[in-house]
Amino acid sequence: MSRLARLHRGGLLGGAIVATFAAVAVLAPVIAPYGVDQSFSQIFGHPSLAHPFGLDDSTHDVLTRVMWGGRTSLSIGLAATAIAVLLGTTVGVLAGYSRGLVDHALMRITDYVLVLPSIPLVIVVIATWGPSVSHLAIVIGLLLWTTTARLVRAQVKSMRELVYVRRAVSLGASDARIVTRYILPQVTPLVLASAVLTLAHAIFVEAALAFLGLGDPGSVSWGTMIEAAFQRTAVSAGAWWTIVAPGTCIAVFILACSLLSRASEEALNPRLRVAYLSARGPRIVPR
Amino acid sequence: MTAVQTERSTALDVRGLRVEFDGGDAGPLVAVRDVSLDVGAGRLLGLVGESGCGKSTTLLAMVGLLSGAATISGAVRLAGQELFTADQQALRRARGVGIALVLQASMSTLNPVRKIAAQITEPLVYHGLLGPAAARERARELLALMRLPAHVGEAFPHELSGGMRQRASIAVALAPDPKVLLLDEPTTALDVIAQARVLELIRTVAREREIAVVLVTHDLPLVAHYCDEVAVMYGGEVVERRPTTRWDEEPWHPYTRMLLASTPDLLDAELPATIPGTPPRLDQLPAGCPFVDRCDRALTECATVRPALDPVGPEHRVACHVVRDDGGER
Amino acid sequence: MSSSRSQYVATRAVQSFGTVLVALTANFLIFRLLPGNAADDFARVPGATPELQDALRDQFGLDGSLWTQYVAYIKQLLHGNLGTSFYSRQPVTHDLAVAIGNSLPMVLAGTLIGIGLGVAVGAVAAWRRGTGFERGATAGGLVLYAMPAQFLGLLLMILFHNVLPIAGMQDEFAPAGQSTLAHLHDVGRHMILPATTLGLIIFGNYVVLTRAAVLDTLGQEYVLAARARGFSDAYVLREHALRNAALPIVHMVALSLGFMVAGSILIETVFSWPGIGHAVFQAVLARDYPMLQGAFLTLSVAVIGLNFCADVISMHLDRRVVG
Repeated sequence: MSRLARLHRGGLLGGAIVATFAAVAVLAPVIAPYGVDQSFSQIFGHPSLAHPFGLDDSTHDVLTRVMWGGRTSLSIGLAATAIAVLLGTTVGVLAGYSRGLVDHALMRITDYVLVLPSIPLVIVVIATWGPSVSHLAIVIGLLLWTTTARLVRAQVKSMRELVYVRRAVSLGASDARIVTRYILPQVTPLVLASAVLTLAHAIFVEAALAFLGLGDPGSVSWGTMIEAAFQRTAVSAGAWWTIVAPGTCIAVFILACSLLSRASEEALNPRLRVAYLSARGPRIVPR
Repeated sequence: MTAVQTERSTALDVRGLRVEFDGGDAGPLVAVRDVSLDVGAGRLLGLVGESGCGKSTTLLAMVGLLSGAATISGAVRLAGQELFTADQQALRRARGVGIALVLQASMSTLNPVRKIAAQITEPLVYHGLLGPAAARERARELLALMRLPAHVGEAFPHELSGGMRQRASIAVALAPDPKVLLLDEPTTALDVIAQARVLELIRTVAREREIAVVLVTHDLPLVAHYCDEVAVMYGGEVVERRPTTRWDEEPWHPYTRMLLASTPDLLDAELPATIPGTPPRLDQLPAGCPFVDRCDRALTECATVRPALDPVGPEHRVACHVVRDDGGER
Repeated sequence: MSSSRSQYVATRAVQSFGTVLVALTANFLIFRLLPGNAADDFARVPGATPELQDALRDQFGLDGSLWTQYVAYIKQLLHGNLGTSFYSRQPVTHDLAVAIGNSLPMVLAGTLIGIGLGVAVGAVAAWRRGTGFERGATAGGLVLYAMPAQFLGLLLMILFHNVLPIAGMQDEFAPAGQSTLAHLHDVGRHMILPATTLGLIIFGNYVVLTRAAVLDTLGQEYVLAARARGFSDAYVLREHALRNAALPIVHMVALSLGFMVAGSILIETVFSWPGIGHAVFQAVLARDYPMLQGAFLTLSVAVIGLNFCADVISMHLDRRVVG
């Protein structure tokens, strides 16, 4: 199958998976088989027909908790992504459009943010500020804006030199008008593609923070489920389902985001890939 | 083969070269349909044609450098030695050492992270032709031969101008002393002065070292000036072949005639005529002469019967029913 | 070294130094700006003698203004004094040194193997485009890259907990006076799972990266030109394609250092490996601000230093970086 068709298929698969997770997250209150904190008979009950993902150490149904957990993880992820993308786009547009000193200053700031050990910093901030869902969303968003900023800046810079933009400038169009009418529409697809990847990162960071005990104690998320399982000796109890269920959700979701982002990147920047060296050479038929 | 030809050694002999690409549902696409060429040592053959006529593919096919989707058939002989044998290693061994290929010099035909001198010595050391010290000496000689200043050896490709890069590419190709030099559009990206310099150099080196040269270009006047012979390609075939010393000799293949007429003449105030129509698609080659749709003198048999490359004069061959029927007359 | 190259190195060195200063200052400010005024806690080492507390207060100027504290902080830094850990009551420098010493072998092992194998597999996958190997390698790389480090670590733990040690760096109950060889063997066995986890994730990342970078170079004309000189496919792949793909790969290494730090924190926590990641985690729990500040500084300087090295390497790989 041609590479393009494969990417296309990958993108569709990724999109379908993301949509499914989103749907389950939204509908969790309705479609979850049991209550989140509903108790059953057995600590670390094995997966069965009644409980396909088994029971955790507090005898709660893991499948239900995974559905509700998706709700929390995805909300934090989406909120963080929204913050990151808004901030990143603003900085990127400002830097790319204004050139000179403003651009330089903004890029220096971006560089410094990248260099600081961000994850430890995030850890410290959440530890002191308090691990609530909103705090997590804000801090993660502030962590991840730089990628979008760089991408947007590069795009805006190249757009600024385009003929129709320069023409608008010479006709006296205000900066605001140029940005809103010409630049933003072109930049939006790129931003969307970047947002998908940022969402994957946000989910990852949320799970990491939760694992270090910094998740929101009041709610269930995929990250806190893994942390709880780890803390409560699921491994030695052999209750692998309490770890595999939430962990697989995270991994599959991040994978789906990767597939989507790769496909959309190819759609935006199709690369004509010639290969001057490949394992198979031409067939030579001697006379 | 004429009597004159057999006296000189035929360094490169191509017979019935055919290249098909796997077109999937569309069936095989024939890019090169039965091309035969022969070039003597120290002689320059210009291979001319429009874009898409198959001239570059012909060069790549001669050294087997096409993709896995291609099927190459025919015979290529290098100083009498058959290259397209069952042993494909022989072909690889001949590459670069016996028969050298120079691509059109863009920014990326030379490895951007290596100095020029290192790129010249590389094939010498790889093929075990010279030791490192001797190879460096040879690199210096070649740079001088290409009229490049000595410091070019220590430079990187991005530091050189287009003309210098092209000459450097040729120096790299000449390092292992090949018997045949194939050049794909060596001057297309260059300004007129650089063009003249490069072609002049190629001709001098070819004569001195008895190298057979095939020069692919779309510039017919250039070929007329610098080459010994010209072969005109159209639709994957050679439609005319003549020595440039007999440039004015009739008859002409209708396509060649039109090509010449469409060349702008700086001293002529009139705009040149263009050839109406477009070259045929690879999957829609006509059964007869490939030029039949655009020819202004086509006969009925031109559409169905492929004309053979018949001699119409000493060392002069044309593939055209009209010309043949006219008995060589205008 | 030519003058333009030395100039480039010098410029980058000055820039890196500047970034270090910014990191120092940011480090200082962060802990002063946190709610709860951590600075006051700085001298409040639990169980410290009044003399120690006074000494600390003196050293770090904790009675003075923010500026005084900053000056004192820099002064102490120049003397190699990073304060005293609340938790262990040892100098932070000492604890950090031990932690780094524990982390390095594990992280290096995992990283080097991960990058080495990842680049090799990625390059071959690009060469063998369209084959099952390429599809498998790409799919595998993507999956590994998508795994959260703690999840992969726990999976390995579940799979191998009967076969390999899963916690700590050495056997707690090993007999005293163990030979060095036996000790090394013990540490080595403990290192397998955490290093493998780190290695797998890095491997996945680099397979995908390298494949993309090599595919790009394989589309460049100099690859065709090199083949036209009679070089074998393997030679062209190594010397021409890979050599040129190295630059974007090195660039990526520099960018991904931050996430590698995150990964090691998670992995060290899963396997209770007493390295710097684990130390950071413990310091957060214990509100051990001097330790945290010291760890931050060390990590910042390490990342800045590695970025600088990456720049110098890039310069050697591709002269166009300078121009």
